[in-house]
Amino acid sequence: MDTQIIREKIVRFLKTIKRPDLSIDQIHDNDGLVKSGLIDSLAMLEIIAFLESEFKIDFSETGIDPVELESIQKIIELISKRAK
Amino acid sequence: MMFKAFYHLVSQWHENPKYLQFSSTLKGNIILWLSVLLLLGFTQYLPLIPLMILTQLFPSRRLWIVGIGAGGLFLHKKFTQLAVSEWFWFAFDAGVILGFLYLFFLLAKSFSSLPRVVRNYPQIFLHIFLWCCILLTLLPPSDFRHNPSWAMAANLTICLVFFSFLIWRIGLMLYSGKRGSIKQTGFLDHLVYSLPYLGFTQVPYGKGLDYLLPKMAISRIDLAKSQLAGIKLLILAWIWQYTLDFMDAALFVTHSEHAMISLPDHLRLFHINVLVTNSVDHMPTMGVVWASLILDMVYDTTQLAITGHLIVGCLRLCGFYVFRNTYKPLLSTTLIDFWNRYYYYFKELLVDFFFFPAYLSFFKQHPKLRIFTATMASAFLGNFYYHLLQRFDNFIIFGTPVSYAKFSSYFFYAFVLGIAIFISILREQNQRGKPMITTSPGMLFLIRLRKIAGVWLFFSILRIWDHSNSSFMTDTTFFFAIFGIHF
Repeated sequence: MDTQIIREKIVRFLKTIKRPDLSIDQIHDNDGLVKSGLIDSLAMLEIIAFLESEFKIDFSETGIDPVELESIQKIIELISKRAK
Repeated sequence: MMFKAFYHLVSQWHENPKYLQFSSTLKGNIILWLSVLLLLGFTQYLPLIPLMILTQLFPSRRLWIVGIGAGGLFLHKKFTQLAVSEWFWFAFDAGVILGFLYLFFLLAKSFSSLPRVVRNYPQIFLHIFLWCCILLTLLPPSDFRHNPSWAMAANLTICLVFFSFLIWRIGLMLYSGKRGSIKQTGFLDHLVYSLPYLGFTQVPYGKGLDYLLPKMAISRIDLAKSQLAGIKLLILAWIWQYTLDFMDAALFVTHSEHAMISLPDHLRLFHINVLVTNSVDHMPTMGVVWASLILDMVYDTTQLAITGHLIVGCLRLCGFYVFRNTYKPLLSTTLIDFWNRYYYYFKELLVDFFFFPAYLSFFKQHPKLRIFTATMASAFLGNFYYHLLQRFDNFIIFGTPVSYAKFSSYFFYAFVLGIAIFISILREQNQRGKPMITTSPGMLFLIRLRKIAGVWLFFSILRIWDHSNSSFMTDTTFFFAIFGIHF
């Protein structure tokens, strides 16, 4: 899948779970999502559920490494590597 | 605005480029290490200072210096606690422990070639193995620890205490194997977290190598940032320690004779263990009870912050810029936020070993049930299991059985905590994405204050079932009594 399309999907999803007082436009692809305050650590769960349903990623094989979900860029890399 | 800017300047002094630059000069560096000497001088972490200096001098060997140096200190400390005094047994036990760790390192390294069932549930197999070892200690005669002809078995049980103590760290090593990140590392790299001099409990402060490596200072300026942030935590630890000393002297029943300003005797507060135990014979006034419950919760949180600040401060001085263990939990506005900020590395342990595995295994099609299961698996069952295992040191060494009274109380504590956190997660999720309430700053402040008070109240009450003298019936009777219901 094209990286740009993946990115758009992620950004669209992040807009639904982000904190209301911050804009996603202020965040660069390499910025930490939790560190920047855009999402809280709980929103990680929703990112996982989103990746499972949208990209059919099976985390049960390798477990979850929060580092792989810490920025938009890292999520794109994870999808490119593991999406079915 | 001016206050905010001033607060930022004072609280974030460790990121000031001028100080960072200065601390890298010879003069600045001497001042830095003298400050560390002063701050750690009266703590058990003093022997770490030479290691910290060595990591600055040889940054490329940081992992080995801390791993071998602190590992040696850890073994020495533990062997002293466990009364292993003869050099032969010291060497024997150390050899067995290191051999064990190396065996698990090899297993993690060849993780992909392990049987599928072990690859799927490595942590379960690890804990089954531990329990089998614990059961083996029941085979020899009951007095075998004091019988010279059973010296080998007695020393193997000492090694078992270490195994039980290091179980979560070995688990982190297996996770590295599962992720494949262990392939680029050597055994000595893993000693940094698997032989922990920092911390008294099984909780791995700084987690495993996968977490520590990205936090490790690369450049000189990164190291200066990490070191100054470490010093800041040590200073905070001292400030909080003096605050606690003052609280003890001025407010609580203990040490009253040292107080310059103190409450009159009939208004003095109690720490929770004393409060609950004494209430069986004599219940203090309700004002004293409630003030004791709330202020003892503040006291306990501050105590934990001191321990965490010292440990994380030392890690930062070694060049690992890791998160704080306790970060302003008393300002939390939700229960889940408090839990996240109160004891970060314990929460991470529960998340890594219980929450995520349960979240990935059950009810994928039912989001709420999925979160409920994962939350109960971590905050309730995982939390309870961790504490049960922690007490097994006493069982293994002294044969002391685990007290039902204490653990029934903690079982209840963990159950209520799990339910409360689940509700808090749901509430947070419902709030997410909704526009923020628009009202006056004063009103927003009051709303925030109300939420904080709710969090304080909840944890103050919940602690009734978690203290050093806990017993379920006494704790529960006390709980009803504070609402005027007596049995």
